[in-house]
Amino acid sequence: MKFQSKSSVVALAVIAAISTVNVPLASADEALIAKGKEVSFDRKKGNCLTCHQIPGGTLTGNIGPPLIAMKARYPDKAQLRADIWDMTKRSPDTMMPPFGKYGVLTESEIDAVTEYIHSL
Amino acid sequence: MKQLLSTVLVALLAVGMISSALADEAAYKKLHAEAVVANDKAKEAGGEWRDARDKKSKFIECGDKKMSILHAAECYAAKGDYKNAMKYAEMAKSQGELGYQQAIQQKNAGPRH
Amino acid sequence: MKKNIFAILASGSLLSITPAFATTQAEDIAALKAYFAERWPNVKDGDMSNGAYSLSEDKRINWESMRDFPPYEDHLAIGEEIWNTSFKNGNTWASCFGDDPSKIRNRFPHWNARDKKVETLEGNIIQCQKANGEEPFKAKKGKIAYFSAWLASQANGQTINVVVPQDDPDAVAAYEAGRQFFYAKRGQLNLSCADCHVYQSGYYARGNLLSPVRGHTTHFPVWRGKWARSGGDGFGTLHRRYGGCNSQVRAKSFKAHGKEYSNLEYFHASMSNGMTINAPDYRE
Ligand code: HEC
Ligand code: HEC
Repeated sequence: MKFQSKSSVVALAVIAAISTVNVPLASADEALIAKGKEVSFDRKKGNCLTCHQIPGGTLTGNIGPPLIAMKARYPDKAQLRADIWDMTKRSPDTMMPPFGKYGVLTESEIDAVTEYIHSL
Repeated sequence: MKQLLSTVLVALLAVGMISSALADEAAYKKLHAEAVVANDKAKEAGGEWRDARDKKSKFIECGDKKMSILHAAECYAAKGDYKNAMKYAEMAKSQGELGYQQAIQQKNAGPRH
Repeated sequence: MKKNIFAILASGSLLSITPAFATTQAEDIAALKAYFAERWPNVKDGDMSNGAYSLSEDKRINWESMRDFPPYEDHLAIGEEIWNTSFKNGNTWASCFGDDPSKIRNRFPHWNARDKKVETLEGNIIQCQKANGEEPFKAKKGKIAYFSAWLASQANGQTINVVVPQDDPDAVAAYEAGRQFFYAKRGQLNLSCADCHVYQSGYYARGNLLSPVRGHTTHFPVWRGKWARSGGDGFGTLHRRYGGCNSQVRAKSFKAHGKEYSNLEYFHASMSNGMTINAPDYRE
């Protein structure tokens, strides 16, 4: 397990390095992205780092996949929002909490998180 | 004449304020009762959530204290802040309903390995 | 309908739709052992009583150095003192549990057929105090944990064998209620015990390496560094841990030694059948 987590950190670093080379110009509201990051990292809000590696996050878990190259993963931002809102819809047994459906985050927090994650 | 008019106005305003406060209070009380029922139902099904109304919860701030969502509703109502009181009563009710649904959905949970 | 069944058979997923209630205790244990053996062929079944430390060399080294100087020796001594102290009415603990302190831990949890309920060691400690007119211990930490830990330490090396009498439908129902509790998603975060301690065991939630359920109950009460840091000492009972693991997924925890947690313990302890008692132990 230890090895798996180390190798995925390396993979993450490599991908992060590649993706900083050709950063697409963020069209979305910078403030919204900043808020999204705050909500995602906050242990009492999104706490996404419990399960996901996210560039810039420390002490991250490895239950879910690293959140990187999200535009490629989710060409459709609405699908990303829908997954964050309720992953159980697509994957009934998932570990990922249904942040919107169960009211862990508010609708506007989910908007911000979506914007932030999509920028990764 | 002018004086009379303004007294009437003030009086009308006061009546209006009192009656709208009374309406707020009544709406809040109704929602609060619904939240209690929803959480009783969740409890019955074994599906209550941590922060809906448990005395140990420290989830929402009201004044300088932290408490459960329903306690926060009560705390704001006591201050006459019915906007927040309604918001938290609604949230507590929703948690009761979701906890109940979850418990029913998970009734036959078992190994899938 | 027929077609559907064939389709399911063909896709090989029949197992996954077998209803949970079709399995017995023995089948549940066998299935879990097989599941973990397949995931970690190099981890010995018996080593899983060391929890997460059986899965990571790094974590294990830290843990072993903590165990070189166990922080709980003084509290075990208090536990022994409790055993040797008579009640005000002149009775001793032996009046409830028998004379031999090494023959107590391993009788619990068990099914009480007369009262139709699962009995746990800590639950019966409290019951014994009440029956003798004593002020009962607090339910989850403090003296009850010292006493329970000392009793468990007297039983070290014995093989766990929780019995669910298959011919008693009420006992089977209690076991099944415990199993349902373990596998049911709960709380606002919608996670089951099994999510963390079966399917994701061996993975990290933040810095916490998730332990496998097999071996969970062999070493309780535990001394946790985290509990020691939160005020008081580090000892806590199994039901204290249940409460913590429920509330971290934002589910309301249940009363220690109440029906829900006692049934859970009946199932949960069963999953360590065949392993040896090694209590108390240190956990981070
Ligand atoms: C308790 C663990 C957990 C937490 C907390 C969590 N996730 Fe997840 N997440 C998962 C798992 C596991 C998956 C894999 C998908 C599945 O289970 O079906 C996943 C998948 C995803 C995916 C899809 C990734 C892909 O490439 O398919 C996204 C996006 C995502 N999570 C975003 C988030 C965000 C944003 C947060 C915080 C607001 C978050 N997750 C919190 C466990 C978690
Ligand atoms: C969100 C993940 C999560 C869930 C859900 C969860 N736990 Fe835990 N549990 C942990 C973590 C983290 C630890 C500490 C690391 C470890 O030993 O696994 C832990 C530790 C434990 C331990 C101590 C293990 C040892 O070796 O001493 C027991 C027993 C336990 N959990 C039981 C349960 C039970 C029973 C449930 C369901 C009521 C449950 N857990 C649900 C995360 C979880």
